Amino acid sequence: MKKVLIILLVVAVGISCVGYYMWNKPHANVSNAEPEFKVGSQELITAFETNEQEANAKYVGKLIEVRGKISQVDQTEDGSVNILLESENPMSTVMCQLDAVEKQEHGTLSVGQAITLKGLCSGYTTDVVLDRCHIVK
Amino acid sequence: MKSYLNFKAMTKFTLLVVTSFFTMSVYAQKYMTREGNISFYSDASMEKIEAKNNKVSSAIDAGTGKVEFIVLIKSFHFEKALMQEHFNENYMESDKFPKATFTGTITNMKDINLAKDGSYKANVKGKLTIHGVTKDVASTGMIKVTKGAINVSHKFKVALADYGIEIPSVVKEKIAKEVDVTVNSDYKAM
Repeated sequence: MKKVLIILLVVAVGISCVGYYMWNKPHANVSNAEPEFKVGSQELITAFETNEQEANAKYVGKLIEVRGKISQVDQTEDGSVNILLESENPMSTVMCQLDAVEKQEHGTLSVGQAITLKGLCSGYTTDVVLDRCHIVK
Repeated sequence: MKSYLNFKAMTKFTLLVVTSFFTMSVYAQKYMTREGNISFYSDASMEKIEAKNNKVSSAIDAGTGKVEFIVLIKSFHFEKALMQEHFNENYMESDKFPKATFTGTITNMKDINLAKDGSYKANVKGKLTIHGVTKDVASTGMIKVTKGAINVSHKFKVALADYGIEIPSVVKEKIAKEVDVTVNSDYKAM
């Protein structure tokens, strides 16, 4: 009987530990993850502009590496840095928000600079939005 | 004599064009942001749930009073990764419904002068779509004009059940039936 109780106790503690870990598990690591897609900023924007449903199914929630030219860099009130990559349409950009979970140094970012970033695609508003971005080069 | 009349007519015409242009350019001004802030808060007996989205896309047309918000669900940040996962996978089903949108009109546009600094109450009416469900909503927010830039702030409640968001009985106590939503966005003139 005692043995059964001890086993039950160990199992209970085990479950609690797993539960605690899950509850407090960290956000997924992006900096070391391999992107599922590597695209140019225009290609990505065109995909969403042409067939949003298809592009959603393909890209949303996935880690995407995108290369393009910086058209704008914004720093918001809460300290977030948004790097906008240009496209043929000035109203449409790929907006890459630098990761606030795994912070990294970004150095100087200038308009017209060619840059490659990877991030998680949230979807399409008037821009394609990438979250938790890391500069690849 | 003829040339004098022509000159007067020309001046009047030019004045009319310039004034119309000026008036048009002030009142037909469009404002937009791609970095609007929307956060929500749920306070139930066991848990406080809070998430922030600072990449909200929104546009206001001062001429027509039309307002639009596009909110990507996956852009909501939670402190806890597991909460964010549950929010996306179980509650919002964001793979199926990646956006929440609002399209509507400011019905008292005539009371609001976006060219003049000040705080204005804005009565808004329109359609709110969350989790694929669209509802007619009406509410009052604040527009604050400071030197040509505008800030929109608004607090309202969303009843989860209204939008088909199901709370499993297991966690019913943890999540409030109504969620408090706060909008706070700065717009730039286009």
